[in-house]
Amino acid sequence: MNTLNKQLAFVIDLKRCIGCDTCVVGCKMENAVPLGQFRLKVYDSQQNFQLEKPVGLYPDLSMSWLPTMCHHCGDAPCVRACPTGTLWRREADGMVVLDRDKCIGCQRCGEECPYDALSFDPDIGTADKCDLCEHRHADGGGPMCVTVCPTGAIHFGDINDPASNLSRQLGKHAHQVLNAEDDVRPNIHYFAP
Amino acid sequence: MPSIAGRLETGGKVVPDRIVRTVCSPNCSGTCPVNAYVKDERILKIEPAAFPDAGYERICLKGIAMAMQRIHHPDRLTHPLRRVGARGEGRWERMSWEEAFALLGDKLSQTAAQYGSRANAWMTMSGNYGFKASTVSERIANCLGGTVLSNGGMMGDLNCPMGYLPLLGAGGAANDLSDLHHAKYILIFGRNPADTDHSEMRFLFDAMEAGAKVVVVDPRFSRTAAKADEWVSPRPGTDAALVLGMINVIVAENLLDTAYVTRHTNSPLLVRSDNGALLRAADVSPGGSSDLMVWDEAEDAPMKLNDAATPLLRGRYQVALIDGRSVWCQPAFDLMLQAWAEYTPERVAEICEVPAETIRHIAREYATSSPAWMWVGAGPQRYHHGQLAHRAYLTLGALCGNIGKAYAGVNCLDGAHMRLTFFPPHEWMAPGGKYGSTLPGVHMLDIIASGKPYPLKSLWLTSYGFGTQSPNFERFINEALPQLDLFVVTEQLMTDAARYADVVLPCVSYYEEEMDLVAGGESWYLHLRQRAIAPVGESKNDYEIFKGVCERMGRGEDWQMSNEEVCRYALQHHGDPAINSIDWQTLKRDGTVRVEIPRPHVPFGDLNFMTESGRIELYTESLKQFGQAMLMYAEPLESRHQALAARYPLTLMSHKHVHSAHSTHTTLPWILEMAPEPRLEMHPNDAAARGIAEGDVVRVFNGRGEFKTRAALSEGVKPGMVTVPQGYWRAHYLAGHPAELGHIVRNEVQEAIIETNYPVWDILVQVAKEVTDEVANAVTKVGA
Amino acid sequence: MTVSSANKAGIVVVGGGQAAAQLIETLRYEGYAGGITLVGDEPGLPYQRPPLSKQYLAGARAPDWLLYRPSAFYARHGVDTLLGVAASAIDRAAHRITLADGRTIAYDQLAIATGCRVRKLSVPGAEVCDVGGVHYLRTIADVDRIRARLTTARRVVIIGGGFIGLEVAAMLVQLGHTVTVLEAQDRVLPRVVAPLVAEFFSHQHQRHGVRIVTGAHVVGLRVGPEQTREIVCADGERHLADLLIVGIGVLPNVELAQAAGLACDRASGGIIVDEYARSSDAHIVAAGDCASQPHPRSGGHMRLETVHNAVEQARTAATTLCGKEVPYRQAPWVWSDQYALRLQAVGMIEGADTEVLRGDPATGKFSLFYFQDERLLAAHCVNRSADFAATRRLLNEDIALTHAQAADATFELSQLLPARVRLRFDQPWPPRSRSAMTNNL
Repeated sequence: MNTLNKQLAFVIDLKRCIGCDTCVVGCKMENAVPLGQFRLKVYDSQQNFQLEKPVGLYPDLSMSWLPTMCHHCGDAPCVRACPTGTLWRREADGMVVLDRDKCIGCQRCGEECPYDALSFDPDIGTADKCDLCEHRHADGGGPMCVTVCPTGAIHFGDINDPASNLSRQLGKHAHQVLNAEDDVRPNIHYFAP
Repeated sequence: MPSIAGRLETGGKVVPDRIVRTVCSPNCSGTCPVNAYVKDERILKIEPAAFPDAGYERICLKGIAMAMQRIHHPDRLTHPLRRVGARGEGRWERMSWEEAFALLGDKLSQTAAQYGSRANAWMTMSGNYGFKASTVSERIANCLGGTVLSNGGMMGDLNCPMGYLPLLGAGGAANDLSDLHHAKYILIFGRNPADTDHSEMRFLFDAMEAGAKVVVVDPRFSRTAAKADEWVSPRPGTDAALVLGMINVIVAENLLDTAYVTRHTNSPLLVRSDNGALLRAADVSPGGSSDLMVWDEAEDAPMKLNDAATPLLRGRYQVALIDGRSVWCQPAFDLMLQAWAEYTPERVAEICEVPAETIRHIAREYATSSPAWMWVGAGPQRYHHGQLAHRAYLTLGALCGNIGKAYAGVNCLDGAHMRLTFFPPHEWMAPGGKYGSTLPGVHMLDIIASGKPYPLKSLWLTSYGFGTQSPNFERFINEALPQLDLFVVTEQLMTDAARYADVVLPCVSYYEEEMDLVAGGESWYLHLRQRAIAPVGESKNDYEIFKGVCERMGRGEDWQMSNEEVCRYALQHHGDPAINSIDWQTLKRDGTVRVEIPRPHVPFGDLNFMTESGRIELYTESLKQFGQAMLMYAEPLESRHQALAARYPLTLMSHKHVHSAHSTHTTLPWILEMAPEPRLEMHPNDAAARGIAEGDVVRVFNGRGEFKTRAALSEGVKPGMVTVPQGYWRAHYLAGHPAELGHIVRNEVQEAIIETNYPVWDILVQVAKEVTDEVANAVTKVGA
Repeated sequence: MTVSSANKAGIVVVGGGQAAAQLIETLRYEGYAGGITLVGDEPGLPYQRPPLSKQYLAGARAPDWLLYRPSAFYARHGVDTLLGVAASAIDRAAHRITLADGRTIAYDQLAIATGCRVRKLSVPGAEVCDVGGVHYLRTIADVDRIRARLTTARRVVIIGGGFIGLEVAAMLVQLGHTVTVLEAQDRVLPRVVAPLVAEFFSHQHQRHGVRIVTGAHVVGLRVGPEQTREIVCADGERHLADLLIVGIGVLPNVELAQAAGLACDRASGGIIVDEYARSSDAHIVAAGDCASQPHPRSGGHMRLETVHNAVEQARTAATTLCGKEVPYRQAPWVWSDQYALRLQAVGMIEGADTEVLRGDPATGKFSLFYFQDERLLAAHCVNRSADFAATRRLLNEDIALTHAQAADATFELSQLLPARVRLRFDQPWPPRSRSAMTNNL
């Protein structure tokens, strides 16, 4: 019997990711994210999210894309840094919750996040980040990025449940997390590009 | 407490009034069914809707941005407008539809009275490719005896069908992409599905996972090249030479499918050495027919093609003509090999700037893999001799026995959309047998400016981003526009072209259009697209607009069907049984139905071709007069091997990209956040030679025009070429626009097949660092 | 409320505010596994004070919402919480504290986070009026009392034009009350912001109908009819209040430390600590509003009354208690929300000789940068949060900013900041088979 709490997580297949930015825009639509702010970004190999460029010298080139959003880290630096309890890791499912009403716009979370996953209102600094499209879960939906990705490169589910679709996906290929040496226990696992 | 001002009431947290199944259908041709969540006649969000077959659901950033930001864009046109002041001044006065119909109806009548009805011209493009939208422009021209300016050549997409037609008797075909996983080798020429067919990319990934090797041929390191196993980077416009190099390897190493070539191509046909004509039965026997002749090995004599059991591909044979002369004849194949012999891998390596060893190994791989799926795109069309590239692909495919073979073939475009729009009901297009005239739209500038072959005095454009997607807009303004008494543009936004119109009419987006049939560009699904929200402002669809004008002119009798009746009529009276067999009620209920075609879909699977010989005509006698009876290579019109290159050494491309389908999405804020400006991509060596650093303002120019933008240095650009992402408007450039640097030069071969194709990328330019940043500081961004 | 009889070797935290709670969290995070006892004189668990003058005053939130950490946090981290009882003495030699009810608790190490109490108005009549008539705003109980009066109070007088006074004014005028602010100095927010910023806020309040009286020295209070209070000023002007709120500052609760012989700073009033939050006793740390830390420039000490300081100094103190030494050197920052305006301030303005304005106050969004010659000292940003965040990094990372760059609103300050995030995969990926073109002709 699985006695672990749920841990919601993502698997992103960088081979299938074509860097089309549909996930970024789908997220903006679903969550009414303001212009200039992003819950999700897709970077190229040189950490640009506009003006993508290949790596290498002509003609020996490579190019891949990296979607990244809040990793809902098990040891989230943003939670530790937040002076108002706006950011909090929920035990029941491992999601890092952001309560906008408590946010004072100090942006300390943004200073600590290893993934640059937070964005801020330019006037009053209120933080915003991926909330796993929680409002869709009750009806059996998942994050919008998963729904809209045209190549099916993003998977979502409970990584602590070996029978979940996510766990089955994870078993298919070698995978890594980003910035593993920062040791924050992130919950996005990537397949090789 | 500070409140967060300006948050839109959209997204998934707002409860909709209703959810409507409709179809996202801009010119990407993905044709993705969506569920539109509507509240207060605004779209809150869209989600992919189900297809009849599982696993097809998809949507993309363009569709999302369009639904959310173009429909209710602050600059959305909402009322008919009449020009005040000079053309292009940008001053408008609002009129009612009644006034608009009166103005237009009366003006069209006057023009017809003065110059003849054909002086009124219509042209449509692909901004809305629903059935009604695609056909009503031609329809009204037919009804009123006007002129249709054909759009294929101006679209720049005719070189694929023009490559195909003389060889296959058909304009193009393709396997069903969902079968890609059956292929073992996928050779992609000038196509970038990761950017332009991303809704189908999953099939390419499935194929790769099933073990297929994918090779991409593209001068630029595209998004697809990044995913492929191998990338080949030829000089722009030299694909035909590359393929000739491959053919030489295949012939030299005896890898061609000789049986197929003998049986299914016209390669054995004897060609007379005296006049280059094909030998016919009438040449050798009195009272003989026009039957084509081969040299039969067993009979050791010329025989009719269909009678010969053992036709030969090689050799020279003397044939006695009925006039008593003897003439040497060679099988066409023998002639072709002679003609192609100079394209050795080493020679081709020089032409294409691709290593000879690469040419060898991809030739071998293609010829020995089975099934080998060739997937060809629009890129190679965009040169003056672009139909030769497509002819080359077909030739290569035929020599390897791949045409008509399952999961192989030479695949360009095929799907429900082609079927829907290529065989519309006759009575719909030309009601009561009324016909207008047709002129090639690719020459419209010259036609209007010169008044030849006859004057065109009014021009009405629909579904056309004319100001950015066609060349020489400034020439149009200066030379053609003054000849027009009336210039009408139907649009959703005040585009670069609409600014110069006399009348601008607001048209609905596909979310607001009551009903139309749309079909997948690369898939086999037909959709009934239904309205999700009420028309914005007073916008109408093209059918309703043309109806209003015709009624004003007392010619409304052909426009009395409702939108729904038109769709039903089009379906039930369609010329293609695969379409007309679809049940209207089922389509209406389900929204999407599969078009039933035989599975697996194998184009030309019966190996019967609509050509004179019934075979693939590798030798095309009809083009002999142009020196193109056989596949040949011709340098691009503006090539770096000409004197012109001393002044303008770089080829300018405008690559397609995932962020916009043509000019439709480049003004949308979410798109601009990711792709804010059209930078000129150039290789660092070419930039360094000009003292250009990343982000510098550059001037790009040739003898026809110029534009200014910022430079982006990228190793992914082949040295010797530069490229901008296509679809951006004038306001996005610091000055000018790339379209001004283009040209259209009459191509006699293409005129003979269909019409000249607009060679978008067959242009040489020079790039120079701009000395001051004054222009940069003065720019105003559009769409933020 | 439990007292652990097994409380022998352990850390005792005296104080029940944010610093105390943060200290506990960091102790456990840094691996401290021993006993922790929290002694707080307020009846509830540690909560956040800033919302008291905002959402809580407006009645928009219940007390639970204010908690800095949920109650389950303390149980989970094995903390004994003694609430509603003050510590009355520290026996440093015996390593023991005595509570007001007589109990004693032993400690291995002690953390003092006793915070501040309000400075009371000491004018004639104040004591008489005090009973239910003079309101301060420091605790939940204070605001509950104010809220009880709000239903019947129309005229509100606020003595003190500092952050608390102005935030309360903003909230109450929006709730429909008639509000007067009496400030003794010649402008609101005296000494903490430049005149330009003070004037901006003053103007905003006046636009909303708040009456601001500067140079108002309160000399007496009288009880008026129907529970009103009459405030008498030195110039003879009198103000009648249905509700009187006083926000004239706070005093650090250092009596416990002083009595125990810990070094305290006369000038700034707090318990002296070094940059590791260590007091003059090796086994005692202090953090938050009650502590005076080294002033980075003057050689003396300073005491900060901010949430940022409470949290960061507490973090430092806890780290020190765990035997690790991580110095606390951060540019102080603070914020204030009034109407739809958020003022965010970072750095210290003392010694500033040049002010550079960025943006236009008329738009409601601007920043004021304070320089000492070429050296950036601080920024006060109103609805220009990006400027605030960038400046904090400029100050903490010692990155220069020129006057011209500060003044140019089109120059993104973030350009000066080195990229902080580098996304990387720390292991190599297995190679993909791919035959690349070798050399090109």
